[in-house]
Amino acid sequence: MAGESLYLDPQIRDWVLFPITLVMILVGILRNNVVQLLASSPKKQSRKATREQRALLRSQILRNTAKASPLPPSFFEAHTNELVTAFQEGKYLSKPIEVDENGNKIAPNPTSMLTDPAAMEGMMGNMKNQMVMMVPQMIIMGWINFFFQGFVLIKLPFPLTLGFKSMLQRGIDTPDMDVRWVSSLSWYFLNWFGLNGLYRVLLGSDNAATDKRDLASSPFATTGAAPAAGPNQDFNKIFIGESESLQIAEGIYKWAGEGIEERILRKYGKIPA
Amino acid sequence: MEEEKASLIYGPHLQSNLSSVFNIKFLVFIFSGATAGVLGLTNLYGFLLFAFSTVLCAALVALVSCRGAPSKFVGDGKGMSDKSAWTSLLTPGMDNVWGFILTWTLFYGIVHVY
Repeated sequence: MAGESLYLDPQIRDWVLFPITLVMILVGILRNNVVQLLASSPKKQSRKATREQRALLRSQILRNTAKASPLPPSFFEAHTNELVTAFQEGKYLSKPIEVDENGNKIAPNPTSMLTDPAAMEGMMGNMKNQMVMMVPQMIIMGWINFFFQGFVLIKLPFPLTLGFKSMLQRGIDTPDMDVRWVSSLSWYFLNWFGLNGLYRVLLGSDNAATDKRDLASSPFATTGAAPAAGPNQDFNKIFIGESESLQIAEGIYKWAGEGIEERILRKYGKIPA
Repeated sequence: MEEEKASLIYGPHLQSNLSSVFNIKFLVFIFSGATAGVLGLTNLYGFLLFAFSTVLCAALVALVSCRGAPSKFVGDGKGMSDKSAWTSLLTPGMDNVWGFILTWTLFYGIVHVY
């Protein structure tokens, strides 16, 4: 292990190390604010579309809590009966089912992604976000390559294989130098990875400066995403499925307060257990 | 009585717990990265400090903040067994690993190279 220790100009530290980090932090915060400013206001859904989604949500909640339900039997039965009949008759649908001459139901045309205006806006929003994320990164990389090229910046405290040498020491053509001495571009990459966590701490969880990978599988992503999954879903089919699941849930329904008088008396020892 | 298995987890509280835990972990890791850098630890010793700080942080959070029962405070919305709550407290996410390496390199560079 070559024991050389290069002596680096302290001005490099002042004028390269700190500025790169500072600029990346500030640009990340700027990105977050720009995305928030660019975001179009959420589109107001019609009352019927909202009613559809809320009815679905209600039945899901009823089903999930059926096993130890806080609702007494009369309430639970009233809710489930009303939902089951409404689903089967299609009362909550925002676009009523068309019936052709013989009285058969026509399946509604699934509106494709390009023609449905709501989906178009969603896609435009995504593309705008991606542009905002990518453009500053490219600009900063170009800036670093232009100004801070050709010198050694810092020494990594851990060793790496020789394969990384070409990537981390770009612009410094010494075949013998330890891979631990790296150029400023690799400091940029190090910052890029490390600052994700900092953005989450500084800006709160749903900031637009990071690439969200870790928390995307969080518990509540699924319950929030399912009803808003797409405007071209066939709600009728979903409703029919829900009504069957509701009927199954009625079978396993059990009120949490059933037999509560005995349980309390037993707990306080008034009845022998 | 198995009726008491009703879901007693309240969503928004769980979310705020999880983000607090994340904040705590991240701060612990950047400070331990700074420590590793200032002390001049390299290679293996640095990663040893990383492992040690992971364990210490998880132990403190579980024993002091979660009062010894992390499954009541941390989880994934449907209730979690104790063992997987401990595991989720112990795993540093990728974000934290990179944060550690960043501050380790930064302080090592400032103190020992310059």
